[in-house]
Amino acid sequence: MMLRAAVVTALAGAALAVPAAPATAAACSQDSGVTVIVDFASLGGGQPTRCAPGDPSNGIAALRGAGFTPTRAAQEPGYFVCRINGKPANDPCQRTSPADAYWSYWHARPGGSWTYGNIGGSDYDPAPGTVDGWAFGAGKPPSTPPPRASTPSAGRSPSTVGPAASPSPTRKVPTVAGTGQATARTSAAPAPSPTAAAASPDSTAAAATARPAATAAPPRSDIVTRSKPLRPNGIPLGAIAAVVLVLLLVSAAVAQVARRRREDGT
Amino acid sequence: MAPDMSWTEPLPRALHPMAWWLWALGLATAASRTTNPLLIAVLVAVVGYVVVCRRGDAPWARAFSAYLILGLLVIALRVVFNALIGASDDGHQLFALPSVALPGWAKGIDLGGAVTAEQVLAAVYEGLRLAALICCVGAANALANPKRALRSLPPALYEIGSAVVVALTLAPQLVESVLRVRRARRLRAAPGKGLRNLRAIAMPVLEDALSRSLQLAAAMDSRGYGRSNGAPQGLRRTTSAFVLTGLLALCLGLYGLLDGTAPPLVGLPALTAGLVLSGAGLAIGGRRVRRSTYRPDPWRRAEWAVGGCGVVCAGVMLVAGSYDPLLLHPSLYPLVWPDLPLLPLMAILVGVLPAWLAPRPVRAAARRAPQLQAAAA
Amino acid sequence: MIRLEHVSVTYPDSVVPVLRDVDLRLPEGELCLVLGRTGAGKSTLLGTVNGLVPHFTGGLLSGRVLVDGRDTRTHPPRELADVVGVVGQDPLAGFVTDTVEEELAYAMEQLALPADVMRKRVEEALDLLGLAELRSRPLRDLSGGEQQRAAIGAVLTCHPRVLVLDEPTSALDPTAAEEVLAAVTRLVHDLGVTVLMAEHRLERVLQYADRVLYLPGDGTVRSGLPAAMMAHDVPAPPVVELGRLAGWDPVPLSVRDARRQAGPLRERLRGRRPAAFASAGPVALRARDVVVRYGDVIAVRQVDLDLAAGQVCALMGRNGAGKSSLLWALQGSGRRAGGTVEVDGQDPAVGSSAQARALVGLVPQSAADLLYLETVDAELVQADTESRRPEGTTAALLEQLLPGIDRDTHPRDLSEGQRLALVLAVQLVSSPRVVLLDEPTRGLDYRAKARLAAVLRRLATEGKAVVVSTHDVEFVATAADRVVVLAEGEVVADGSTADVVLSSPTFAPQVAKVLNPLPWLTVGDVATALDVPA
Repeated sequence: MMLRAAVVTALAGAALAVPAAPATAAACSQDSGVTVIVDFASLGGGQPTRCAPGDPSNGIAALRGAGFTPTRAAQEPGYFVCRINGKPANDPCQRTSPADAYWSYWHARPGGSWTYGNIGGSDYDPAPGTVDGWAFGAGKPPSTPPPRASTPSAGRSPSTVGPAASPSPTRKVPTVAGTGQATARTSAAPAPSPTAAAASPDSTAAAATARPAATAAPPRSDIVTRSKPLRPNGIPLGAIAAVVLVLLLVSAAVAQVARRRREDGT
Repeated sequence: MAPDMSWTEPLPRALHPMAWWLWALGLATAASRTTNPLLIAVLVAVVGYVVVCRRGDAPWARAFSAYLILGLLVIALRVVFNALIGASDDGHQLFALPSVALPGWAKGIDLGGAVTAEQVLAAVYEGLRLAALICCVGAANALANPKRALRSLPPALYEIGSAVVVALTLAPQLVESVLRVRRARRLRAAPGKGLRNLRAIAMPVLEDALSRSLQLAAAMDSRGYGRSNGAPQGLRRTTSAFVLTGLLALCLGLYGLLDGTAPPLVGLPALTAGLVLSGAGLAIGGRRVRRSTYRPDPWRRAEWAVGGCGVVCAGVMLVAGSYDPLLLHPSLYPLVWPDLPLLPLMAILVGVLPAWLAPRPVRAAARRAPQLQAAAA
Repeated sequence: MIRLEHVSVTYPDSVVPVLRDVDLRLPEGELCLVLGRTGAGKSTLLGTVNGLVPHFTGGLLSGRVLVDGRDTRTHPPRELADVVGVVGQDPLAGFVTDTVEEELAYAMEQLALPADVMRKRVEEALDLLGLAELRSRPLRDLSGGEQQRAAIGAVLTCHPRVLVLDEPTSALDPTAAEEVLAAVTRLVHDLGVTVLMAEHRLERVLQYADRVLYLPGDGTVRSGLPAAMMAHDVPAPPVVELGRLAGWDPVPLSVRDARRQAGPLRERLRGRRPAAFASAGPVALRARDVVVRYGDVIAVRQVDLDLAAGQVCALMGRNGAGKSSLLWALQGSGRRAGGTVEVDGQDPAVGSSAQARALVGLVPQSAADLLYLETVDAELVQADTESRRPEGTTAALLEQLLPGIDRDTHPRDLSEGQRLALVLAVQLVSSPRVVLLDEPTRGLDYRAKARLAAVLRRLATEGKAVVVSTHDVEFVATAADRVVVLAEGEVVADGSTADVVLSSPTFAPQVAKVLNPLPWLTVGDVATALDVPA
């Protein structure tokens, strides 16, 4: 059942893969894309500003489009960003982060002021020409003000920041809206090659089929996925062992109850 | 820790209720620290097995199945609500519900929409954990006589204990008298509906409850309840203050321990402070209370063993959790089969030992047996 | 043991003292019976002994009460717990724990007795009161008599020197009452406990009493030996009434005493028959195969019953024999698992409760459940509107049943008898053909019972079918034409009062026992037959 659903969505996703422009390491010029600032200041880093070209379908896509690598909480439905570029490493990335140490999401107009994003990154669609900000901490806005748009002459430089898969400047990035399968993995292991993912018939785009509203929107260039069938780590030995153990205990309990009945009966 | 080699099956007796509570709370702490469905399934099975092996035949001993059903209900509710409002785009879609468009200010909430395997599993994992906690409490209730548990409270808490006991006794009587008055109302064929009817039922019931309480108070008074032992008023106040703040701190500490996301200060430090404070209060209070207990439950080796199993289980789980949280919280994004980590599994399996370590309970069939044999002879 | 010196008690809301200048001295090991009408101050007198009056109830006590040398002025009830044991009217209301054994230990725990002493005394008390089989049973599941014995046992474990019992047998069937009284007399005889007992059912207890305290109702207390007291005008059981009628001296206190002197009276009565009650009218209620069950418990098992208009029928049987269940099922409000009930061709269980009420009226055991307004007058007006009768109908009925009730009183402050009359009036206003009363005699004194008997007889002569469930054989003898005995939900005896009652050792009234084998049941009958004013 689940497997079939995955295949169906995978096919849909493959059809939707569309090209997108590469990221640049500065604020976007005018409406050429969404400017993304990630504030690592409270984690002892800088505040890199980059441009996600084109019209990313949502905040996460913009983050990726700008060359950052978000990591989602492993058990939290609805893409919760717990790390960006693997930081902070001490967050277990299981469920939502604590309220005093999380990545908060901000929006602004160029040169304007930050407003708190009360919609999650995967649900918010930043318009080209606006600024997205991510700040780590207890919900304070990024420490730098939203930059003005850069002049078109600003050089396009390939972004190769982060330990994880980043889109190559020259190659077209396969962009598939949908499952976040690969994202948790990216921090632990080398990410699968985007091209391979694009070629794979596994890639899924749940969003495209799931939300009728989303179909009208341009395809999302957000989460790089490499969907797999629902048996990712081979034979689930642990699960089998647990089931056997539970069955053992339950049958022992049933036997005990039966014995008691017999004793009471006599 | 290893039992004596010459260990023989102990004589049937009721285990100290606090030992069962210690065991159950230990397992509950362990359950609260993981969302691994395999570990939790094993834990629930362990709890169920111990209950089946060592429960008596009093009415409350049958309550465990009710707690199990309640647990299942919790899981089902979580799944349904998660599917309804927590719609997410990512993951393996199972089916799609018609989605409801909400106004812009509620854009963060999705009503309906795609339901994914991950989302359902997340709800199941969380629900399982809650269900496991419920089962642990249910197990303690099934295994330990609740009234005896109250009796084994320290003497300084005696008043609270007897208040609870009296409330427990009066509650069914109140229900009974509501039923009786309602039935009697039919005799009068009173047409009253709504407020008037309510008053017609409430007045006799309240009067009944009041007169019962007065009679009970008079009976308790004339049977020596609250005999003064010359304790000065100030000392009594200090005791109460100590015990109350201590209990508050204890609750806070327990909460901190059970909820992994609570600030660290709320956990062990608060628990320790609570223990010390209430311990002091109880020690001071215990000296002023001159009262004895009829057939007190003894605390022997079996009690140490059963309580110890709970403590070991909780302790190992806490250590394992801080060592590698990924073992206890299997990933859903990406969706993988949960592992069955060995150390936590062993910790949970320690919890099944009371099925043999605890003495068998005394049961009515056994109580009758000597008479039957005597009659046969 | 107990000394009352010039004791007067006045409650805060009244100006008249309940007890006035009472001087009493009760020696050790006596069983003192406290007599008096409802409201004469019996409970107050009992309460003074362990300090519940005034420490718990409020009020002003002047004078001095000494119990075993302790002054209740300085010793509140809890400090007297080791000297005085008190058992209230409703034992269930006084239970603090939930099993017999724990209840027996409760008071000792409060006295901080060592564990081994407690263990020993609990076992002794279990044996002394015949409770050993019940030791781990929940108190609520016990029968009335067992509960009463458990309550006595619970105070006995402290080895009190004085035992105060407030109407210990009023709710019990004859056999259970015998059990309790046997236990009490054993305490007096074997342990030398001083017992102070208030009781309306004199026929049960008088023979055991060493002393009688009579409260005429003016605040004074008259004390004397039973025989001497009974010779005077105090409330008396039928056997004493018979003795007074026949002019026996000394007045017999027990059936045994009376029988020894009864020879001449039997001779005089030979050949005469008691006047028969009015013959039965047409059948007003016809019940067939009535079954009432609560889960697995079958309370009423396929009972057939025809109630004739113009007859008073008494329903007797042990506690838990199914009397209440049967009455409720007949009325139509209670559950009925099978069978048919028919009044005037209609089933009261079908249709609205107002229709049922117009067919069958029921006065439940706890009559106060029906009352919820602030004044008697409000209740009467409410009853008129509920039954759509012109205003004043219920009030007129009440005036007939029991004249002279103050209309402004709160129903709670009425005496048992007055409250019963009020509820009966409320139930009669819809003029049902069948009237059922569940245990109406509980807590009534002799006068109130006589009045109730007269009311029931009048209802019968008005053509109503009356059923009254009761344990009170003396009441049955005066009021009922017919007796139905239930056991385990089945009818085990059904016939005219004389037939059923005379053939049963437990249900025979005192007069029948004295005049056996002659078929006389009440003193009134004998008086009529001899043409002497009773």
